[in-house]
Amino acid sequence: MPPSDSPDEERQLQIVSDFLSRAPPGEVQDVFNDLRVLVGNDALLRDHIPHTFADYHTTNYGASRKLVLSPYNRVAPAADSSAHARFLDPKTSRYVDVDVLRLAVVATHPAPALPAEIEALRAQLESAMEAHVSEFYPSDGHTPGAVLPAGPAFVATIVGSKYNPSSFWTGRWRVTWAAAAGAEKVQGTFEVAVHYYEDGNVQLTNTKEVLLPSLGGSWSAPGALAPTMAGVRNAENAYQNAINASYTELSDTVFKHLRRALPVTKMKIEWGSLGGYRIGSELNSR
Amino acid sequence: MPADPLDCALDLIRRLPPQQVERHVAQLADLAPHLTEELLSAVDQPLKIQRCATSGKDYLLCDYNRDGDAYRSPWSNTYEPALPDGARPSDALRVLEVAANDAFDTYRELYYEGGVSSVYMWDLPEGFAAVVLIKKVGDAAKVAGTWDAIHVLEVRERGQRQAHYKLTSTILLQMVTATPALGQMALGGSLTRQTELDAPLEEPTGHIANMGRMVEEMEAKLRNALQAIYFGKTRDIVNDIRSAKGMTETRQQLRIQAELVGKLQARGA
Repeated sequence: MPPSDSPDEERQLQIVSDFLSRAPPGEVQDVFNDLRVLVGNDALLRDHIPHTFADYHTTNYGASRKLVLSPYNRVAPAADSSAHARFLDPKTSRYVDVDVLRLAVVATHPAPALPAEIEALRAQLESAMEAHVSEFYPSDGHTPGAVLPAGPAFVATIVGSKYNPSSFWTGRWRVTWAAAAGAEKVQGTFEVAVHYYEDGNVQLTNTKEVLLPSLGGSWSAPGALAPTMAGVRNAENAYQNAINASYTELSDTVFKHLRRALPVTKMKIEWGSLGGYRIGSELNSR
Repeated sequence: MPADPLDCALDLIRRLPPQQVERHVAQLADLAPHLTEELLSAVDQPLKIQRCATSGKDYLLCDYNRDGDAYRSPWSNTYEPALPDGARPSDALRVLEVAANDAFDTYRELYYEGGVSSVYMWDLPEGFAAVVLIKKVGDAAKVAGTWDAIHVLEVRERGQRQAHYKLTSTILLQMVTATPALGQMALGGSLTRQTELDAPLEEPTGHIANMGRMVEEMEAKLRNALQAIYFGKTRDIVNDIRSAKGMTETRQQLRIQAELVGKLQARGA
């Protein structure tokens, strides 16, 4: 057990933060539990870990109740509490203080209201996005979406996740759509992560960015959002199709070329007379 | 009961991205230096290739042919860099090791049509142990694929004509690809399985046929499991979280199915 004033504390915290930031979907607490035993210094962790957890959930779109935590709605926390992180909930126009270790809401405070016309636009985008999320992300885990005012633009953050530790797998989709009203382009970012860990550790990660043409002009006109939402839907579908096509290609070509299911002879090896194969293959190669 | 640090370290290896397992082992060794040796022998890492200075043939590096910073070539039985008093198998076991390298070289050629293989053996108080290693790097365009097979065998002779084999096998499989439609995709990791076998032993070289059959059967099983998990299970999870069809169409299909079942049942009644 290292002494508490061990000169390695900085290095220990570095490794702890690095490991926590790499935790698969839904497993940050499991990773932390292991690290606690290995570090054996709860006092050290107590001071530094809430910040790392806050960063993890912000980056990975952790969800507290129906609120998606993201870099776009994180705000400077209250000075008196390092254990809580503060996020804007645009829907209720409130700041929400989240206990990042348990993803629980501990307090809310009023936030300044948006100018009426911006809020009208945001609410309209939000209701279109909510319909999109409930149509395409049928999860028994967290599937919230949020539309946030981000400077002069709007950002929609979508997270769909399923955690099934009793069957040793977890998975998460993160989708981010960003657009300025009237802008030429809508930018999309897709991030998919899957972890399967029964008698092993298999992980899929996939990231992609897209740019869609925006309709420009006013979004507040009736039905004006429909083409943009169709673009969002088509881009997500095309991406999902590309993942499925890649699975087929990897399985049918790459995997088969790495190792054959059976030798060319279609027969298992006669281990008792292995010398014969060697002579045979040497003859063939001449 | 307090948790065992080694169990916690191994649990972390099971959770953190397998593409960077070497980095995680090094970080864990920093965090818990007293676990370093146990981690190096318990955690399977991608195999490295080195060219044997004596024979000119490639061989694979792992913890089982390492002594300090030197690695023993299975072809020349010498360490590189030179290590005169480095650990080596007994003379009798070296005869078996030479024959096993020859046999698994043929096995590798038949199943892998390329790649590198190495077999290392070491004496145990009762019997011996062996590790069979095979590495293949794919040559597909646009996709980086690697396969590392690590089979560790513990062998005990029982009387004159019987031997007991315990096999622990891990296959590390990594694939990375990128296209404009797909973006960046990494699918990788490892699966581990164990099995035991009692088999007749007519002569000392009979070990090779017994070990060969066991490894061949295990690789076939693991290959099936890799296929099912990599290309089936993880893909299902991707499509489970996002429904490409959308819920409106999915619900409609379910309703039609239910109606059909209802009609069939009504007809059968």
